Amino acid sequence: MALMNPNSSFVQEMTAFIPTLRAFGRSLCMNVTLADDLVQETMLRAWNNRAKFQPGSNMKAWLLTVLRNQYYSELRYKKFEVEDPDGQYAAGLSAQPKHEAELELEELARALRTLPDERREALLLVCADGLSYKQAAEICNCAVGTIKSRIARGRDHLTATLGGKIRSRDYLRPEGMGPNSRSPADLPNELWLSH
Amino acid sequence: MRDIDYIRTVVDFNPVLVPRWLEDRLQRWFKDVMHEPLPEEIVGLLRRLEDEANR
Repeated sequence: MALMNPNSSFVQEMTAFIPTLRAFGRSLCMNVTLADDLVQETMLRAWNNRAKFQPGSNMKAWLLTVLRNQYYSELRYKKFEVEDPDGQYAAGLSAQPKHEAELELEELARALRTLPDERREALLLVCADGLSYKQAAEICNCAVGTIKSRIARGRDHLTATLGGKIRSRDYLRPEGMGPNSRSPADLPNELWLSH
Repeated sequence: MRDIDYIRTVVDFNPVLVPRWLEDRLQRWFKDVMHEPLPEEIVGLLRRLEDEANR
C-alpha cells in the first residue's frame, strides 16, 4: 500500500476542520466576509507553517489557535471599520418574514455582538463547539479558571439580554436526549446544564 | 499559598452552569454556520493547496 503524501494528508485533515474554523471565525468577527477572510488567512498560515505541526497532535486546536492569533493581531481592528453602528444590516435582516427559529438566532447574534470578544469566544468554544475548559484555555492562552469566569459572565449577560425572549420551544429537547418536551413548570430542575 | 491552591482546585473542578435553552441556541447558531456551503474563495484556495501538496 502506497504511503500518502504528508502534504496531501495535511490538506485533507485541515479541510475537515474548515466548517469549525468558519463558525469560530464568525463568532470572533460577527461578520461573514471578515470571518471568511480570516479562515483563508488561517489556512495559508497553517500551510506555510505545516512543518511546525506534529502529526498525531490535535490539528483542530492548532488551527483554532492560529485563527484566534490572526484575529487578535490584525483583524480585530478591521472589524470596527465595517461594523454596523446604525443597525442597518440588522434591520435588513429582520425585514423579511422569518421562522421563529431564525428569529431566535438573530436575537442571539445581536446579543453576542454586545459581548466582549473574550467572553464570546469562551462561551462558543465550550458551550457550542463542545471543547473542554482545558482545551479552550489552551486555545485562548489563559487559565482554566479564567475561561470559566468568562463563560459565567457571558452567560449572565446573554441570560439577562435574552431572558425575556425565551420561547416555549426553548424547552424542547431533541429526540434521544430525554423526553420530547419540557413544560416551564419543570424548569427549576431542568433549566441548567453544567460544563 | 495552600489556601489559594485549594480555591483554584475547587474553581477548576466545579462546572459553570449554563441554561439549557441558551446552550441549545448557541449550538444551533454554531452548527448553522458549520453547515453553510463553503464560499468559492475557500474552495479555490483548497484546490490550490491540494495542487501544491501533490506537486
